[in-house]
Amino acid sequence: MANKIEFNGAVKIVKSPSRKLISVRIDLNDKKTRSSLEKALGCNVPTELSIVFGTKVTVAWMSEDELLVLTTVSNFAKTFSNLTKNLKQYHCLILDISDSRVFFTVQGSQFRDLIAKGSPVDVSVEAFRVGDFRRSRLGMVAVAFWIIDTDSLEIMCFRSLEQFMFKWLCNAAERDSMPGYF
Amino acid sequence: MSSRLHNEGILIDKKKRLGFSFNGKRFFGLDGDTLASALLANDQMLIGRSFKFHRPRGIVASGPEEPNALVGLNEGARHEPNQRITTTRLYEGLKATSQNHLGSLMFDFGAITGFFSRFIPAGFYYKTFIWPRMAWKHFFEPLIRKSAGLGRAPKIKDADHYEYFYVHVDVLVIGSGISGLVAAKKTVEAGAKTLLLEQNHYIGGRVLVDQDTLENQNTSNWLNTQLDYLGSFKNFKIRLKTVVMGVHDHRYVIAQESVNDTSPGDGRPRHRLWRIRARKVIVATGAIERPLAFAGNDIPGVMLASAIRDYVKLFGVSPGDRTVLLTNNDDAYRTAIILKACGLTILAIIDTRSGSDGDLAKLVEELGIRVEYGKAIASVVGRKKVSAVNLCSVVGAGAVLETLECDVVGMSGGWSPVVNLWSHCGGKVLWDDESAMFIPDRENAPIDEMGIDFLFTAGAASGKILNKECELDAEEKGCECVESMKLSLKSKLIAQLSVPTYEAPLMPAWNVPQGASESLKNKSFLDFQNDVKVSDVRLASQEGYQSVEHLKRYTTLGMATDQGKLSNVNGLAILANHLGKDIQNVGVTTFRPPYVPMTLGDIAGEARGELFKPIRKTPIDAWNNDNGAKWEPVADWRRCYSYIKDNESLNAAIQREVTNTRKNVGILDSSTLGKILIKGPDSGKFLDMIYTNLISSLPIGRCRYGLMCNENGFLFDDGVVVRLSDDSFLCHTTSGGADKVYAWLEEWLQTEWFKLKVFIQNITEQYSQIGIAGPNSRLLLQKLGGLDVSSSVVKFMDFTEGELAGIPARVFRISFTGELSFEVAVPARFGSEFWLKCIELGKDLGIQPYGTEALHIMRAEKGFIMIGDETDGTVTPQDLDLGWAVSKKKLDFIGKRAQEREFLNGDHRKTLVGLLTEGSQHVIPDGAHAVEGERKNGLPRTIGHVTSSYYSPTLGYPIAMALIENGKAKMGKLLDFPLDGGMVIHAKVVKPNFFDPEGEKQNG
Repeated sequence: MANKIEFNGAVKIVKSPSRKLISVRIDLNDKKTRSSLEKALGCNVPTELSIVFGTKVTVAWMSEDELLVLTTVSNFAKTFSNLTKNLKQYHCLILDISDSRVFFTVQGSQFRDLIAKGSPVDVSVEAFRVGDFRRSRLGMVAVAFWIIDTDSLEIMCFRSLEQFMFKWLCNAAERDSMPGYF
Repeated sequence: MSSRLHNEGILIDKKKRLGFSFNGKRFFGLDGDTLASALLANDQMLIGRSFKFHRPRGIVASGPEEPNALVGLNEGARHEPNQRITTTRLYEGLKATSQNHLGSLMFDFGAITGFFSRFIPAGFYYKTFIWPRMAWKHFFEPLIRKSAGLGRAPKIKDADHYEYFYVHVDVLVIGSGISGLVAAKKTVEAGAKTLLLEQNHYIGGRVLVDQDTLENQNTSNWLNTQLDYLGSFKNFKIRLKTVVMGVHDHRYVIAQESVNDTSPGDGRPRHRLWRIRARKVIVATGAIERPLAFAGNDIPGVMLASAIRDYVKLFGVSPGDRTVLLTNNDDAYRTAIILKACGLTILAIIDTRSGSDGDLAKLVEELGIRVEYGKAIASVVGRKKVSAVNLCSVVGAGAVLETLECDVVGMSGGWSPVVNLWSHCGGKVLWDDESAMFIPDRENAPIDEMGIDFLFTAGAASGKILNKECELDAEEKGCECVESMKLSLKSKLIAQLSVPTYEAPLMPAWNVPQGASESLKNKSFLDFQNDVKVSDVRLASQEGYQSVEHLKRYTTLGMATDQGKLSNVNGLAILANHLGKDIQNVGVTTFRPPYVPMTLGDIAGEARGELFKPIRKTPIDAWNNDNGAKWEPVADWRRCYSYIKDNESLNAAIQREVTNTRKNVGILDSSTLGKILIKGPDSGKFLDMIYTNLISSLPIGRCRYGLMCNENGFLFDDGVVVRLSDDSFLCHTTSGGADKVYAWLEEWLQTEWFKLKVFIQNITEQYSQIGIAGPNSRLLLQKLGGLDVSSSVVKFMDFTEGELAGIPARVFRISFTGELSFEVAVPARFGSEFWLKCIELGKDLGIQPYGTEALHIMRAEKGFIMIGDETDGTVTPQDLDLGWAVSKKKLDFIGKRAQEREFLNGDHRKTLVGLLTEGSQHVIPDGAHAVEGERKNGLPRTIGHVTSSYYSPTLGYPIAMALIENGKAKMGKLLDFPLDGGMVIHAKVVKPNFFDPEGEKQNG
C-alpha cells in the first residue's frame, strides 16, 4: 500500500479506507416508497439532516428526494440488487457512485473546533450530535460530515478535491491553532 | 514631561521589563503596557506627522479612537503600517517606526516650510483638477502620489497566517464593562447561550478607572465576582482581545480575535476572524470622549481628559507634570481628582460653563483645585510639545487674559455613545439636545429577517453615561432581550452599584472661544489625522456644501483610518452652526464596517498559497504531472495544456502533439468532461426542452451533439447526449460547465417542471474519460482487447458498453478532432490503470498524449466551436451556423421564443467565419478586431473580432475563426485587423472548416 495519508496535529486527520456508495433518488415523502426502502436497506430511512447507521449499511439524507447509501465492498452487490428489486415499481434512480467521493476521519476531541474553522454549520454540542448529517463546505470545498463518536468525525468530499481537502484539513489541524471554543 | 508613576498601574507588572525600539532607539516598558503607555513612560510624546500638513502629532486618546499615534510595526515580512499604538500591546523586541515625515520625525521639511498647510485648503483635491490646468499633471499629481497613505505598504509577503471561525449563539454581548456584564447576566440566567466579546485583554471597560460610584466595593472584586458568577453557567462563554468589526444583515456579526499579539511568529494564527450568527445582539460598547476645538489643540500634549486618567490609573504613567483641563462638563473633573491624588500638579480646570453644582465640582473645591468658570483656552503655545496655554473668556474673540505654563492639556467636550454597531445594520440615531449626543433611536432599531428588533444597546452605548444609569439600562435591555427570545427571566432588576454621583449638565461647546477669530479657527483642528480644521468646515459651508455627506468628502473630515471617531460629531455640529440648522437636521454620516481597520489577511483567512483556491485533479493527474504537464485552469480543474518533453519549447510540443494525433494516435485526459445522468419516463420530454434539437428521437445506443441555450436564446453549453436505455440518457457537458448545467437542470425540474418524472445525478467524478484519436485509435482499442469496436459494429456516433483490457468501459465513437476517435469512460478508480495500458500497448502504434491546446487546434482545423471561445453569452446557435441543431419542429425549448426576436435575426448579426492570413505566417492575435469604414466620430468601425486563432501544424499556415457582421456575405473578402503599433493584418474570409471538410478521416 502507498504511503498512508494522515496527519498528526491538534487532531489527527486520516484518509478513510474506500467504501461503496449508492446514490438513490426517490420520493422520500411517500410512505410506500419509504417502507420499500427500509426493506431493501434493512434499516430506517433517515429523517431530514440525519444519518442512520444500520448493521450492513449506513444511510444519509441528502435531500428531500435523495439518499446516500454507504456500504462495504462485500455488501455492495447484495445491497444494490436489493434496492433495484424492491424499488422496481417506483420512479427512482439508483447509481453506483463509489468512485466519486473520498472520506477523511478527524480523530480527537477538538473536531468541532476544526470543522468550525471552515463550515458555517452550528457544530456545538447541543446542535450537532451523533446521527446528525450536514451537507456544507469546509473553506471553499463542498463536503458532508457526521459524527462517529465523541472523539471522531467523518468528512466526505469529491474525489478530485482529495489532495486539496487534505491540505486544508492539515492546515486547520495545526498544533496550537485550535480556538478551544467547544 | 511624561513619566512613570510608582504607585499606580492596574494593568502593569512592574517586575517584568520589556525592551522595545522606536525609530531605532531602545526603550523599556512594562508587561501590561500598550505601546502608547510605554512610549509616554519614556517621555516620547511626539509619535508621527499628520497626513496633509506634516504637523507634529502626539497621543490623544487611550483606545481604538486614537487618530494620531499610528506607527509602522515590525519589519520585513511582519511589517504593518498605520498600527494604532493605543491598542498595541507591548512585547519584548517590538520594533516601531514613525510615519509620514520628509526627513526625520523631529525635523520634517514639509512642516518646517509650512509648504503643505499653505497649499492644501478644503476641497484641495477637487480644486486642483480645475486650475491651473497644467498644475495637476506636473505638480499636484506627483505630489499626491508621493504623499498618498500614511505608512508604507509592506513590500514582501506576510509571514503570518490567519483563519476563520464560525459560531452560532443565542445572544452576543459586545463589551465587558458594567453594561456588558450586567446584560449578559440576564441572558445567561435565562438559559440563553451567550457569548461575550471584549476588545481588550482585560474586562471592565471604563469602570476600572471611573470607579467613583463603586466606592463601597473594590472594583476588581466586583468584576471578578461578576465573571465568576457568569462562568459558573455552561451557556456562557467569553473571549478577550476580540473586536467586533461589523453587524450585518441576518444577525451576522464579524469579529477579529488577536491570537498571538504579544508573541508574533509563535506558530499560531495571528488573527482569527469570527463569523457569528446570533439570535440577538447586545451592544455594550460604551462611549468615546469628544475633543474640543480650540487653537493649537493638535499640538502634542493636548489629550482627552479621560485618556490622561487612563494612563495614570491603568498604566501608572503621567502624561505630564503640570496639567490644565478644558471642559464643558463635570466628567473631566475626575481627571483632576485622580491627578491630585497622585500628587501631580493640576494647574486649573478651565470650565466653559458659568458654574457647576455637581458632586465632583464640590470635591474639586474641597481639594483646593483652581477652577475658572466661563473661561476657555484661546490658544496653546508650543510647536512639538505644549509649553503653555493662553486663557480667555469663553465669550468674545479670544483676547488673552492669562498665560499658564504647562506640559499637558486635557480636553473634554462630553461623550459620544459608540453607536457604530447599532448603525451598521440600519439602526438610526437621534440627536439628544440635553446630553448633546447622538443616541440610538429605538423606534428605528436594526431588525432581523422577520422584521423584529435583534440589536439592543446597553449602558453608555444607549447614552447612559453614568455608572448607575449604565447598570440600570443594561439590566433593562438584558431583560428585553430575554423576553424577545420568549425565555423567562430568572431574577428581577437588582441594581447593585451604590448611589450615583450627581453631575451637572454639560454646555455644548464645539469651538471655543465662541467668537474665535479666523486666525484661531485656522489653528483649531477637528480631524487630527487628516488635518481638517474649523476653518475648512466654514469654507465648505461658504462654498455651498449643506449635506454632511458632501462636507465629509469635500473636506476629508472623518475619512482617515480612525473614521472620525473623535471628529465627526464636532464637525457636523460646527456645520450645523454655520448653516443655522439643528444638529438633528444636518444628520450624521453613515457608519460602516469595519469598526477599526483590519488587515487584508483577516479577510483572506487561510485561503492563500496552496489553499488559495481549490484545485480539482483527475485520476490521471499524477501521471500528467510526472510527464511534463504544463497546466491550465479549467473552472476549478487543472488540465494538461501540453506535455513538454525535455528541452522542447511549448510551441514545439503542441505542434508535435497535433501532428502525431493526425498521423498515429493521440490520447487525451478528458476526465473533467461533465457527465450528467438523466433517468425517468419523462427524460426525453425533459431533454427536448433543455436542448435546442430533438433528443427524444435518439435510438438506444446512439449519440447526438446537442446545444443548450438560456431563456434569451444564447448558447451556453454543448455536448454529446447518449441514449443509454429507454428511460435514461447521459448528457456530456463542457468541463467548466458541468456544475452549472447540473444546477440549471435541477432548477428547471424543481421550479417549473416538477410534475415531470425525471431524476438526475451528476456523475462527472465517477468516471475517468479518455479520448483516443487518430488513424490508429481503433487498432489500439483492439490491442487492449475485449469489446468489438470494428467499424461495422461501432459506427460513428455509436455507444457500446463492456470491457477493455479487463476494465469495465463505456465506449463512445465521437470525434472532436475530426479523426477516427473513441472516448472511453472507465470507473475513476481504473482511470490511471487504463491510461497506462493505453500508453504501453500503444507504443508500437506511435501513441503520444496530447493536451488541451492540441485538442483546440485540431477542433479549430475542423471548424468546431468551443464554448467560451466562439460564445460569450451573446451568441446564438444560428450565429455559429449551427441552425441545423436547432429544431424547427419542436413546439418549445428553452430559448426558442427569444431566438424568434427580430434582433437575433438579420444581416446585422455577427456570424462565424474562417480567416486565412493574407500572404504571411502571422497568427492574428485572439480577440483582434476587424474594422471597416469609420464611425461618426472618425474612429474606425469595428465589424467583428477573432474568436480562435492558431498556427495549424497540419496545414502549415495560420487559421482563425471570427464573428463578423453579416459574415457569410463577406466570403472571399479581405478584412483589416489593426494591431498595436500601427501594424494591420489582412485576412481573407473563408468557410470555417479548414481541414478535411468532407469528414472522411473520422470514418477511419
